Amino acid sequence: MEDLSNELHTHISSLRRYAMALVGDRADADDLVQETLQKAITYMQKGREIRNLRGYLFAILHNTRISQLRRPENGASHVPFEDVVGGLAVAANQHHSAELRALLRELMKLREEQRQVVLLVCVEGLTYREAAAVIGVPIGTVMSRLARARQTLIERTTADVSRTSMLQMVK
Amino acid sequence: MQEEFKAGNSVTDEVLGAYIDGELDETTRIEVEAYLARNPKAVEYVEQASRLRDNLHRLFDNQLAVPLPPHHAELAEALERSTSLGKSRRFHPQLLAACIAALVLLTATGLGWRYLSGDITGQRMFALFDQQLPPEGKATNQQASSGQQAAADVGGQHAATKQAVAASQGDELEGGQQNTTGEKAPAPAVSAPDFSSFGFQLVGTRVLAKHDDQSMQLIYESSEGARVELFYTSGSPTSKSSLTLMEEGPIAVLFWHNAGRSYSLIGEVDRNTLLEIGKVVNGEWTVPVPAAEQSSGGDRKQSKKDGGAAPAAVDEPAAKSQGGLGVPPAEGDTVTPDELAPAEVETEKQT
Repeated sequence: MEDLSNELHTHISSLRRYAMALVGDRADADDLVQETLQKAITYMQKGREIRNLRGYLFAILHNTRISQLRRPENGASHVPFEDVVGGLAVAANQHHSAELRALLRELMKLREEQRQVVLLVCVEGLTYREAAAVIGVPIGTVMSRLARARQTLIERTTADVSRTSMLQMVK
Repeated sequence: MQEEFKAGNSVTDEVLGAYIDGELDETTRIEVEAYLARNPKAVEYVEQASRLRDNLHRLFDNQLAVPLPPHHAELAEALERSTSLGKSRRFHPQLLAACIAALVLLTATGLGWRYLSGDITGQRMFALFDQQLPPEGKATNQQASSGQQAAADVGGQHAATKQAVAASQGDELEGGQQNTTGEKAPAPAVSAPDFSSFGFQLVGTRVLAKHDDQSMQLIYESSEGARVELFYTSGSPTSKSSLTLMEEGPIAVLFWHNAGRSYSLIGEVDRNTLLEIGKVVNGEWTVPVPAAEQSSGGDRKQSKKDGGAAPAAVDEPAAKSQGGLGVPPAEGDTVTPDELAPAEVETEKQT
């Protein structure tokens, strides 16, 4: 591990963060990342060059995830909030914790295609063009999905936090 | 809110999102900021979206500190080894060497380095020669002799002529093709061969000589980033027809002269694929039947079966271009790459 270049370590850490945020389960996320890395190694061992390793890894992960979801036993893409919050360890006394919990809950309620663009652009910092390449859609689709997802999250989390604040005031 | 923006000044949530994400060009960014200055609700949306981004990072950034599990670490190390190999190839040293040899070959047929166009790649190639091989003529000779013997030997190869390029195989370049640096290259007065059936799309062109739009470099790239590059130039009309095929590791190189033109095709493909790609440019690889053999009923394929040698070189009258890359049909027997490879084509294979 010490020999692992910083660049590659950063890519894989980002990949794991994205996988965890996407699927909401550490074991599933690890499986997804593992399969992604194995595919990348196989590809490169064929003597092929990957010009944008980061984008390539995210694209493989995306495609692997799509394959998983298409399997009959994996129809749903919504992730139970309770499964995720433990894995992410949002501290109870963390500043903004109520807001963060509300955000996490609503994020996991989003359709996965919206969650993908939110995570790729807002968390992983991919450009619209890169995100479009990763998930294989036009840039306009990325923009519209992102706008809808943002709007949904803002509306729901704002309402959620307001409701929580009101309850705390009543207490 | 979105409807309000649409009804207002066509600044939608998508545009505001692009503003937050730094995706807008300067002009649009200024317009959006002017819009924000008079729309408090839009400012509120931008602030909420920015806060959303910050909170997403608060939620998930701690995942970056989670150590890689052992099985991931092992895979990561394996990937790094593969990547290191890839990085050593990323500079394409063999492709670069082959390109240099191709340019040397083209230079030998009448082009001067001083006429190379000025884009970045051209400058790099120019600089390489300037730094490593200052005397221009010496550099040419040295490059030609160092590992690219075929380039120097190209005039004395076995003969190969060609048939016409099918008009349907070429896409006319209209108004100049975007080159690799984003600059517009002058519109070449030729058709670009279509390599899409091999998975390669044209991504750049470069005129190799300022006053000669018949001397071009065409760059093709696959979706996986592999490249094929075609160099061609008008050469001496008395040049002998010849063809040379080499394979060096992951790079295959094909040189040929025909009808007063010199061609170099270099790609990250295997040699048979490169020969097939070459046929898009050149038509079927053909070997003319010498008059003596024709009159005596001699057959080149027959002589091959009998162990007879193909002609070492055949003088081919320079034919006139017929459009596209301008390779006219020629009389002769058509041979397949497989038939060509062992006997008719001089090949080198280095690993």
